[in-house]
Amino acid sequence: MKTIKSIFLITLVSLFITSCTNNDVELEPVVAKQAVNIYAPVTTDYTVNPPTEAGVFTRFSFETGAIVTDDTWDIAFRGTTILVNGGVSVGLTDEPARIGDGALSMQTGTFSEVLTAPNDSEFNQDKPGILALPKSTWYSYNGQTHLISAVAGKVLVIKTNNGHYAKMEILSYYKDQDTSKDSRYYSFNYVYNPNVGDENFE
Amino acid sequence: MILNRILILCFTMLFFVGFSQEKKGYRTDTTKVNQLEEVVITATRTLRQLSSVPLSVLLVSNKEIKKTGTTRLKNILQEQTGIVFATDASGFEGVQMQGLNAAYTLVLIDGVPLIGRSSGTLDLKRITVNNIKQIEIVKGPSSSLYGSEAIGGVINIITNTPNSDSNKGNFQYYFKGGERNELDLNSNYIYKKNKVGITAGLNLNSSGGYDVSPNTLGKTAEAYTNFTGNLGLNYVFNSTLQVHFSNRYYQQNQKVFANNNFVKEFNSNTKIRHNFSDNIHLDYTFYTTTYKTESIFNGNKSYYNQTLIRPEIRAIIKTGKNEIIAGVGASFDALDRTFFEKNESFKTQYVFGQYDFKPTKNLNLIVGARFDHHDKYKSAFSPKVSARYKLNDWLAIKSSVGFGFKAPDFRQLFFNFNNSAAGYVVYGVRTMHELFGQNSQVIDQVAKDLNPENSIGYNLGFQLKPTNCLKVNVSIFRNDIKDLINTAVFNGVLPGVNPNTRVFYYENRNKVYTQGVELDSNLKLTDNVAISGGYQFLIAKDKDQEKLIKTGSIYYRKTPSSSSQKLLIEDYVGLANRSKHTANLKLFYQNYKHDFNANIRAVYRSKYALYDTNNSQQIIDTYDNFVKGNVLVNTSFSKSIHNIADFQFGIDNVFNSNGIQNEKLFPNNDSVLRVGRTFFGRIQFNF
Repeated sequence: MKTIKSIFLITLVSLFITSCTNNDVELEPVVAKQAVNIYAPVTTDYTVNPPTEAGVFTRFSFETGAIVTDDTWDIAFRGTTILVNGGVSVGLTDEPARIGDGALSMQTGTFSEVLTAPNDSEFNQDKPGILALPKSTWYSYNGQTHLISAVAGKVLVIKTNNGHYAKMEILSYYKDQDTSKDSRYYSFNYVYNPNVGDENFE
Repeated sequence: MILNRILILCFTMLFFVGFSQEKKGYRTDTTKVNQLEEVVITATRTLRQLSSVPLSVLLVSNKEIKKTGTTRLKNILQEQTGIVFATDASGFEGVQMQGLNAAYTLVLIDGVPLIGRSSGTLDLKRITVNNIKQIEIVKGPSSSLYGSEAIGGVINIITNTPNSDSNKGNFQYYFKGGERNELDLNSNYIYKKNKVGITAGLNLNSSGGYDVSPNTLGKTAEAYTNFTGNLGLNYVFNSTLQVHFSNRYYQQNQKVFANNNFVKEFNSNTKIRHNFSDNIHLDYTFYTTTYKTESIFNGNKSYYNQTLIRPEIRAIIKTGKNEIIAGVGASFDALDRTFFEKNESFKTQYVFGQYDFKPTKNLNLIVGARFDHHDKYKSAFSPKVSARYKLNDWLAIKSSVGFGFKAPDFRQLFFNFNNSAAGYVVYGVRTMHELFGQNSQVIDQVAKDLNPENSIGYNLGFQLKPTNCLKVNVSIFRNDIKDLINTAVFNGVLPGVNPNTRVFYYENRNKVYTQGVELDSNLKLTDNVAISGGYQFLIAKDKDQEKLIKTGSIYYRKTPSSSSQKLLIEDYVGLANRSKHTANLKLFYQNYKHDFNANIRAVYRSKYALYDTNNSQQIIDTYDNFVKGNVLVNTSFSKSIHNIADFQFGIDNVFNSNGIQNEKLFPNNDSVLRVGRTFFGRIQFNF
């Protein structure tokens, strides 16, 4: 009887403990948000051939979901150029310093289809002369309407400067997502996982 | 709204008709019973009754051309069932048949081909309708008789020749106001006596140019003046030998800014018919044509200089009710133009044969084939079988299966086009091998020989004649085209070419199909009123695109900034510039007592896409932007005075359907806009 009682007690206690530990590791839920009108101006010098671009990059942090001005940025925009906070300088004018170990991978699918980050081997970092996200891959230019549109079915998976994962889908390059208004205004959907190293987006 | 107005107009016309008196006195009884049967030559290369041909053939008579008051071939063709005029991405407008682009339609004058295509498209505004006896249109592949380009169909313009003693002529003055500001002057002379026949014609056509989008840079059409002269001579030596010699010269001058651009075209055809015996005829033809253009573009002179020489011998052998045709010929085609390294030439030899027979009383079979051997690309063999079975007095079934092909054009083999400003070059495959033949990437990627683009076409038709005054033709068609030649991006670096420059070459790649149903009907309501209606339902799709969509690798955005979605196969539309529905309705009224006629014709084209607008890898789906469907209504009235003079007045685009609502979705694109309402008048004097 006593033995049974003690087993019961132990089981109960262990159950209690287990549930306690479970509570301890419970993950924070992922954050699904939309960033709108992230303005990324650029000045272009057409007097030289090929034209050169200059101007401060607009830096964005997925953790705060806002533009930042310090080194805690994850991606940065200037015109159609997109940088990631990882790797080494591409060699552009006014390029921000990279202190993080961020990386980027372009996946094909709808935004909701991409549920986890891909293998490390599929991530790229900026390199001298080569962007982790080559321009020709994320947008297309229509010579007739002169409009820039983000290629459909492309989802960017980003390893942030401090090892979190986020996914984003660029929706528009125009202010208020209206192609008749000014360009260089990014709007995108993103999902940010606040748990370091967790590759899930659900 | 527009449809309402059309209805009202139709009713007004009918009302009008109701008050007119029926007049039969001008027709003799014999013509009533034995109405002159329409005869065509294009379908079989022998004269055949239109109604007996086992193929889908459309005939546009000189009478219809006259009544409609059109001046150029394009205008009369665009009112015909199953014919659509579409503007390609480079801005060239051409004829589309059975859903195939202008490059896949052969255009002939008296059986010999016209040359001078721009990106494959022949400009049919080049051809005046003056001196046309009739236009014959054979739909579906006819390469078994005509060789290259006869995939979608063949348009054959038959010119006037005197067939009985005559000595007459006419002079026409035509003016079209409004935006078109067009002037068309014609004079014709036809003579025949005993052994000599002469046909001569002059056409002068000019326009002040027009602009459908005055707020954008550049005109839609610059002012031009063109001239067409034709001269035909016929001589009958004796019952066994006759010679026909015909010439046509066309020249167009255009002043664009300070530059003089011109087009010059010359065709000359000599035909000798030798009646070997009652049952064996030999035709010798020798055809030469040149097409030359010169223009200044962006400060540089660009030129295009093409010649074609084609001798052909044909034998026609009759055995009872059966007929055999056999022919042999050669083509010498040469082109020298800007962006070519040098003058290039093609040599082709061909043989063809056809057996036309009647195994039973009600069954007609035609079996034919042609073999084309080329020196610069792979050869083509094109067989064809067609049949017509007469079930009873009012129903016949027609069916045919045939191969069609289109030879690669000069550009696809010899282009050397460098647009360094935009950062790309385009090479023809031969030129690429000539310049970079040692490069292993070129050897691996670029095929030196291109296959002709080729197709199999199936047609099934029903010919109904339920009453004497109603004729209905229904046909179902399907064309499977493969080896379509398209540009591809070269993957690699070429010596001497900037590594950032994109290099394009040509390859046989795409597979497409077109299918549909066509309906054409003629109703003779009374002796004075005839109504005709036509309709075409069309599906034209790319098989590779279908495959991509089915594997789920195509995404699109429903609105420009909505989240991407996977494209479903049911949302796939197909090739650009194809309208699912096209239709026409025409009403012709003839008043015999007062020698007066009137007509109203409506042509409908449903919406069509120009290109992918929602980011789905050039694939056109239901969520793309479409050019709106439209109805064009034209009308004209003519009055004859004692066969001495004819007066005509007409309105084109009565309801001013100018397509302005497309301007927002397709800016800077004049092809989505149309010339608004215009008025024209014509006076003809006969002598």
